[in-house]
Amino acid sequence: MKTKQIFITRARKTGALMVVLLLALLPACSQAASVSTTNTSAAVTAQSTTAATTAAVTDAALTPAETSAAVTKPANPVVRLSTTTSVNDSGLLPVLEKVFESSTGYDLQIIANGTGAAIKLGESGDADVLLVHAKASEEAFVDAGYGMERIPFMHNYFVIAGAAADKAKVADCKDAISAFKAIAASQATFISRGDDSGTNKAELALWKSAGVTPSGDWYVSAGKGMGPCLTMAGEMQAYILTDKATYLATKAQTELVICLGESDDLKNTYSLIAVNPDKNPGVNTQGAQAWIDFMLSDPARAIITDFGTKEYGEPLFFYDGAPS
Amino acid sequence: MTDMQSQTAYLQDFEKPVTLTGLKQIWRDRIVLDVPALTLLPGRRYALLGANGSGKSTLMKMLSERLTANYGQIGYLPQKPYNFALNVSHNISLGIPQGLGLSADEKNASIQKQLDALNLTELSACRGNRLSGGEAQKMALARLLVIPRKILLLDEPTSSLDLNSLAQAEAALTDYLSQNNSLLVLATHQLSVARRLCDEMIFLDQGQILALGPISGLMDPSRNSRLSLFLRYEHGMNSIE
Amino acid sequence: MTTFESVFAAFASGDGELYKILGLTVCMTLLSTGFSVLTGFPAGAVLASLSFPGKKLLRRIIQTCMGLPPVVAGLFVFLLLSRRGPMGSLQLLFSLPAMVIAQFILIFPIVTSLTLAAIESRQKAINQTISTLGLPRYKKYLLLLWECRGSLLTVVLTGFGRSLSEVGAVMMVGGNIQGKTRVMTTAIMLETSKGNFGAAIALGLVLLILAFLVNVIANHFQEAQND
Repeated sequence: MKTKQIFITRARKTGALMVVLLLALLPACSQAASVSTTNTSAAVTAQSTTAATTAAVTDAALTPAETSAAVTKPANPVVRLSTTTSVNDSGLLPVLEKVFESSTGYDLQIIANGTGAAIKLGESGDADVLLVHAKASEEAFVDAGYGMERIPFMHNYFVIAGAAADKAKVADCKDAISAFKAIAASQATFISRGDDSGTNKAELALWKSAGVTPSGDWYVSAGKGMGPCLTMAGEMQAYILTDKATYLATKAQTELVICLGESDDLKNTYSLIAVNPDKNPGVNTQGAQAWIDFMLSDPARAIITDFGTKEYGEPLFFYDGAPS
Repeated sequence: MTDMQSQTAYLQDFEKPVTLTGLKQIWRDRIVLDVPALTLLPGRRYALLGANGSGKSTLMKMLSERLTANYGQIGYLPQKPYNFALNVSHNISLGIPQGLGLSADEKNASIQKQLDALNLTELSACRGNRLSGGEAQKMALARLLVIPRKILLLDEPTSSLDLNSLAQAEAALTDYLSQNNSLLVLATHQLSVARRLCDEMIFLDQGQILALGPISGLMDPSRNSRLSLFLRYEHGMNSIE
Repeated sequence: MTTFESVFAAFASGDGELYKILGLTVCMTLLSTGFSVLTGFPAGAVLASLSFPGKKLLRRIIQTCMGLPPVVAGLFVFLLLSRRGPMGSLQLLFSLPAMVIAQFILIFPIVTSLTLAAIESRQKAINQTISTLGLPRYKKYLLLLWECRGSLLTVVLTGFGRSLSEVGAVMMVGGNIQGKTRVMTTAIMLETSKGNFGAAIALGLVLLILAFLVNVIANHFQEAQND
């Protein structure tokens, strides 16, 4: 009787409270969504592992006129950049993104994947512009009509990193091919990306040149991105072919050393490719071009050549600019 | 059987009368049970009578908890005993505690004895949870009777039994009680069963004991008025039978 | 295995790589579910039966752990087994045992919590019937578990499904090493990152078929019980 009445009221109160909470969450969610898009660059920059580098470089790159100018928003403000995990893991992109967005008003969305998927996104029109480093695949992409043209604009070098102990004496080798032969001969543990990425393809090409078919317990095909593979190499004290940028970014944590540095057969070239609207009409051609123009401009050159110098004492990338 | 009987020394002896006090329970402002003290004598058979909601089951539950604390393992049959999804023989074997030092043959013999006594032999391989209400009740009773115990608390053990099964159950129970001289507290609303099996009666009404004494007291014209009411309404007894 | 068709061709021909992945997946799932059940069933039964100070708090904690983010569990195990971590000397990182450990951390609370819920509903009635009869504790727990076996089978299937579908923690501590720790879910991730979406979908279908078969077998047992 009495207890029943109280129970009903309590249940109603709880129910009402839940409904109110849910209703309150809805506007809060949509608010958060809109806030996050405008703050992407700031948030990503804050999370960047090279925060110190970022701050220094951004200030240097911005001219007084650019900081105060109010930029008009373009018709289609979203530019989707498809790139690889190694480029992303180096920490370079957020720096460029911030400057690009504030000077052009575009909203750059960076999607990082393995090289294969990065290029596939261009084929399906899920990206507007590519930034990858796998020459053969890039040329095939353009030849098939998916890309406008291949613009190689910067490069760096792969290095062979490994444990300080250097069991296979890679440091004594004069080039990558002989280093790989030495590693195979001593059956020292070697971590391979195993994911058809640009780095992986370069590694497989080197094995081929060395005349070795790597197999056995010592050859670990990891199937992960550059950063995680470096972590694994650090854990297993193994050799690994890596781009210098990601190596430096993770050096402190992995405790690996460079056994073989710049060698001619280790050059790694990065290219920009705008996705062809003929095959995928919905892509943002103006946005893609704006990004490419930015990347070939002086401010971008300054950022790229400067990137990493403060933290590591040497640049991580070498800027070539537009091919002549 | 003699081997088994000699083992009962292990089951704590119940030789002297026991008085339980403070048997109280309140549930949401309602007094379910209020029994300040109750004395039970070994070897006696008490019928616990009362209408639905008078607190019989609560009292039985409390007795089982208190007496187990004092005397170790006792036989307590709740009002709705659980039937395990094992065969009937296995169900009954659950009543045999560990550490008695009985051989497998002795155990099987006592299980078989109960199966025969309660006419469950054909069902011995059936699943316990597939029996009819009456068969399940007999099985639950068999589980308690399978070894001698000094204390038996039965809460409505015969409510679903037809006349035939009832006769079997009563016979088995009488047998057991005379052999082991156990204390019996039988909560029931079947007056005929109470009169046949018990020699003392406890009448519970709204949580309180209103009448206590020999079972012949049910016929006593000077019995408690609430008791008279109970007898009339529950058993259609208008006058003394 | 780069296209949709090639995956099923590999399946039919008994291709070493695919079967290795399948084998590792089944192994890992059986081990992690097995350990979780062996410890979770008794834990749930004991928790349902005993009452002690702090029982409510313990229940809340276990229930919260049911929703433990897999990456958190993965990170914890990674740091534990890392070369610089407390158990680094065992060199268990990037191996099947590491994956089983991470999955156990995720599945044990689920199994315990669900077992507890399943048993609680029957525990009172069962205890009332046998508490005075002098059965040893372990027999009481076994009876409880046996009587709830229908619900417990569902609990096992839940744990199994959870284990089969886990990818984040398994990737972190297993490393997706070909032939050693590459399981179905991490293989799907790899093929997706390579852009071989067809192959990824095919692997996903194989995984679903595997899960379906397990459910069919389990239901068969359940129906046999009910007869």
